[in-house]
Amino acid sequence: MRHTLLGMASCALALSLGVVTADAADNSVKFKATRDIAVDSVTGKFRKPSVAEVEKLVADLRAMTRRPVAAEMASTAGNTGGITAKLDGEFGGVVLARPRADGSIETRCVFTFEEGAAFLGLVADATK
Amino acid sequence: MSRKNSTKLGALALSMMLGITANGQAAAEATIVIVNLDGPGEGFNDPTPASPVGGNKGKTLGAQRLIAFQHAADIWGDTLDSNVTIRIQAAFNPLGPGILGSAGAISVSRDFSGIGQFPGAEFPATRYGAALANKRAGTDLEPASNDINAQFSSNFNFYLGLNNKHGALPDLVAVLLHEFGHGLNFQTFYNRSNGAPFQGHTDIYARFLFDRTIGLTWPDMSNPQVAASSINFGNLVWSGDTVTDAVPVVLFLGNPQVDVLSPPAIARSYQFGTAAFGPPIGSPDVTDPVVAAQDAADAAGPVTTDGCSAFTNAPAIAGNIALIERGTCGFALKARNATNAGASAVIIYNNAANAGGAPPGMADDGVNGQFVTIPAVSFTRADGLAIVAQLGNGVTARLIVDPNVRAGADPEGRARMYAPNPLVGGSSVSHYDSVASRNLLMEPAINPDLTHEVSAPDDLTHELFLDIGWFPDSDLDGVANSSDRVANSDFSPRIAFSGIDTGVPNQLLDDGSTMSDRMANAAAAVRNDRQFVGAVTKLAEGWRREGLITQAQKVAIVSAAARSKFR
Repeated sequence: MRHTLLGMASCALALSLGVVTADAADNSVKFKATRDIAVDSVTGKFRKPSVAEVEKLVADLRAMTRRPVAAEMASTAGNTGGITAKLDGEFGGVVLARPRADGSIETRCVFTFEEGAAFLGLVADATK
Repeated sequence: MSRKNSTKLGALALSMMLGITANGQAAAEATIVIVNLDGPGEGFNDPTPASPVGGNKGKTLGAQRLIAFQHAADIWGDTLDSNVTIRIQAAFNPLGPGILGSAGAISVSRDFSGIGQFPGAEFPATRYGAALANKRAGTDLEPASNDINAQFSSNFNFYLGLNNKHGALPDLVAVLLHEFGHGLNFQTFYNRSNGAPFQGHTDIYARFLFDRTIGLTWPDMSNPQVAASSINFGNLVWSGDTVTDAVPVVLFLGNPQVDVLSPPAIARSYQFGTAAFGPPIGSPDVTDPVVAAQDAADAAGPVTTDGCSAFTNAPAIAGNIALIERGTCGFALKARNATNAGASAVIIYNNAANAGGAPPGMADDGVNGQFVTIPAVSFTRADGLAIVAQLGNGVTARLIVDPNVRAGADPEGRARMYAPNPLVGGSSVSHYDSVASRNLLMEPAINPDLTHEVSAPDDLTHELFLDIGWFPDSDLDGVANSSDRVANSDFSPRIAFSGIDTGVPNQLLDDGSTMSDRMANAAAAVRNDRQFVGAVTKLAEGWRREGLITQAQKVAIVSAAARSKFR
């Protein structure tokens, strides 16, 4: 049924997570995973991502949440007088997934790296 | 009968613009095509054999992906009207774990006019996503570019069926409906952190974001006001009439809320997260004093406020609302301990490690949740500490369902937008508030109980699109149905009577009718050939005087009418 009341952050799990700070989008910041978000190709079960997988995740998430800086330009269609700015595939929503404690999967659409990193349990790795 | 010079469109051009079908009737709705960017053997072209699933008859993984994409695109295409084909460029790629995919508009346009009867931008200096801009311009503003970009994960196991029977797997069609929704302009382009509009110009979505606290929409605010509005939980609403009119048939009465009633210094309604265990708020309503739980600082939990062990002040807790700090053990165990102490409800506020976080949704641990018999909610750390600071003055709170307010709407019946506080980075306001019930397609979470319906009474997404300018236009002539004299016009290339071709181009007039429509109306209003020829002559003479046709064309029309058999 569709009557389920969901709180504003009803998809979060119980475990305490580190806080992703404003410098999260800084490319020099390294991250580590605190959640089981990768699917093991052998067992099919969720596990923590490897270092390489975290690096791939961070790179993809950064790329998909990047904000465009393209300059505006006159539209090419005649007689409409419009001004267009290309977003180059940026400025889109990014859908993420992580497992719940009961094994089901919860999703979240985010628009920034910080929001995505928090949802996926990525925290700045102070050792790197 | 006034007409604009811009309506003087040649019949051929008119037909091309409107996508006329063989019988002269325009094909309504929008055509959305998927532009496959994948290379051989990957993504949409993945040759891995696949069995049919849920109505998806593709025989390979790639084919099933493409069918699911087109199915989602067709749902939107059946819902929206546009005479410009919407092109979604799409690819499946290996993405990092946890990333399902992404989509959004490829470009935004402002200050464009429309060709013919198409209205162009409704507001100046206001950005529109590419697909919506094209619809309102009546032409492709960037014909060399696609309109929406989509990239999805090739290593994630989606449900690829079309029937919504996805079980535990994320339903690709639902995810696509949501993401395509953003691409179709269910999004603002503001920077929520600093409140600045993208490159200095507002957007059509933001024009409907209304802050109840200061009584302004975003374009009328300063940047700091926008930044504050984007985290004004419960008070950022959609001001569009179409959504508001549909709220009563989509959202259910009964808004869960948590209020502190006293002392006055902290008395207000609070943002909260809910629990996946225990009864929901309102089962039953609770109004009681708030008491901080105390437990032993032991191996189960190192501080006396974490509620991880049996409470040492259980007599004080009994019959009251227990206040517990997050951390160390799971939410469900804390709530179970509160239940055991006889609490009427429990509030769990973020600990220092989550000081910047929004109130979390609280999952069950599979062990303790079944023993929780009281409502449980979560608070931010700031709100929790504010209560802690006032406990000496006596704090009374209530956890209730307001039967007069709809879940996901404000007391005035406007849909709430997602504006969590503290800021959960990103353009979260590009979603409906997650407190909505029923669940909506454009909430931040793509809930498993969604249907594939996008309009009222099942959803509010289509209604928001109507508010921002996706006006219904059945014959795709650029004139909204609501003001179109003939909503399904005859777009035959030339005016003809009973098969007698006048050779005169059939023009679209500024009220949404065509010359052929007017001739048909004339025929319907008279009783004999003489009256018919008279009515046609009157129409043709009027068009000649307005310069829409020449004298020779007028003669051709009248002559053909005279030679035709009436009706």
